[in-house]
Amino acid sequence: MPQSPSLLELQRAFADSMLGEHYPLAACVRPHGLKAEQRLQVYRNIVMITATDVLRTSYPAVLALVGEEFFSVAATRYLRTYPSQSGNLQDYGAHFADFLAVMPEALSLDYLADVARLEWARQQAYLAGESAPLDSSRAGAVVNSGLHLLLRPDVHLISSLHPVLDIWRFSQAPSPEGLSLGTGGQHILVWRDKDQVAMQAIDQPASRFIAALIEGASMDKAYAKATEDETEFDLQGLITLLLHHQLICAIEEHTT
Amino acid sequence: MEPTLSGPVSIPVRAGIGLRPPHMALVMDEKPDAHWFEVHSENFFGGIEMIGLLERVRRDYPVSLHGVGLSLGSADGLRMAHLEKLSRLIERIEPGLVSEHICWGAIGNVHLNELLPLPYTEEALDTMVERVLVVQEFLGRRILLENLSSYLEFSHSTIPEWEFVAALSRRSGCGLLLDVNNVYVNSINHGFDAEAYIRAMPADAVAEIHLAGHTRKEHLNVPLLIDTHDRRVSPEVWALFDLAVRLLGPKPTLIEWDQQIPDFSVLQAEAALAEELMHAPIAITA
Repeated sequence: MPQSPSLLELQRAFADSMLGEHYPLAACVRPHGLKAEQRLQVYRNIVMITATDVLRTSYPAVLALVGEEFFSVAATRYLRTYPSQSGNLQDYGAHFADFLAVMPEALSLDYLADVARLEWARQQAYLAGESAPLDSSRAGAVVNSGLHLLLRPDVHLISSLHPVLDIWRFSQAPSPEGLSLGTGGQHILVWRDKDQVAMQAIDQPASRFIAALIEGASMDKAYAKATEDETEFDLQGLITLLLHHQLICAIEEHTT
Repeated sequence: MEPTLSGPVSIPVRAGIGLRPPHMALVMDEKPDAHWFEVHSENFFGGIEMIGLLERVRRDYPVSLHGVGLSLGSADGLRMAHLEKLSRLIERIEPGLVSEHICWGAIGNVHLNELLPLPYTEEALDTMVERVLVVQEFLGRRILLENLSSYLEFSHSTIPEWEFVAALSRRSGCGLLLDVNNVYVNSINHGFDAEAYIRAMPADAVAEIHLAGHTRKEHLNVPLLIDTHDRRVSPEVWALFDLAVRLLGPKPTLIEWDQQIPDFSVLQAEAALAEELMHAPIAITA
């Protein structure tokens, strides 16, 4: 580090000092009664506290499941692995599920990453843009056609081999009976309902149908996906659910 | 369809309150006494619900937008996507004032999401002037730049902080948002005369003042104040504010409180204290 670094050199070294173990910038800081490292450490602590608080707000169920101490270790390591890439902190934490999935100390909690995925989907649902719902009288005729049914931008689907919706609810309001983890996987539809986030478990064929729609498949292709293993698929029930909550925003004809 | 806003409403020369999410509902429902509100712009970048709430507040009160994430002083360029979001928010809210900080917070793809100090060098000054000119051109309006609180100084700084701040305003035409608490915090942390700093401010350029509480870090060899915004304004900062009012004239003044946010009435009481000093009879002019 030169004695008089350029602005670019200084800012890179500052960022390294915040996210790493060392303080490459110490030689450029006036000690003024303290060690230069102590002054940089004030900033490192502030950066860490801000990032941890954002994760704490976005991932309350993960926090409840692992406890404060574990969470802050995970948050510190996450910041160093996936530093924020946005000036808007609402974007921070997008990779927390991927991080937890491979964090050695979390491997025994094999459902934890999926709980984190559900929580990120909840946040995305809350922050998604506005869209006018479809006039429901138009929806009945298009089922099982080559038309495309567009879901609102706040609609998300989380599929897990674990009962993550049950786990999420238990983490927020534990019941004395406890929670069984052996009840199989869950598919959860997540959307914004006024200023709340709503969640509902749907069955596997319905989740395959929704996943195909989100990927841009036409209605008939999505239907084929839903029924590919010949399990029973209640299309009418699912469409009724989507209409009831006004989760469809358009029906379109695609030429491609 | 609610009526659209009828053009910007300027911020009065009164004491306003920093409006944070915990008080949004109260402000909309009860319309409490407050001369104006300032919000953090980034809180309203995503989330249609939040913008709708702010529009409702804006119908009843003058609103100022205060940014914390543009990172104007980054050596590697302006964050245009962030600026575009700010521009869209300005169009929708029609704020009386728009402000940011004399700082940086991002380099490359890494955002540290903090207000970080610049070295006070000619290079940093040139960078800030150029950025502010671009931002003012892009937004089609003058912005205010706020002096930062800081916990370190860079050894290669060549310009005193107050000269850097004044020169930025002179060269870019930006207004200044003088944070009196930050001046006091830095005067203790870096050992300079806070009154001389205030005297060095160009009175015409200062368009807003911020006041907030700070904390003192214990068990260190030297005093270190942290700009925590978690308590009432300290007596030393009120005294400095009194001096600022006498030297610069009364300015729109904001009470900021961002952590351990108290009842709204506490913020109103702090604003009332500021009003007393702003409108006290002036015995001696400087």
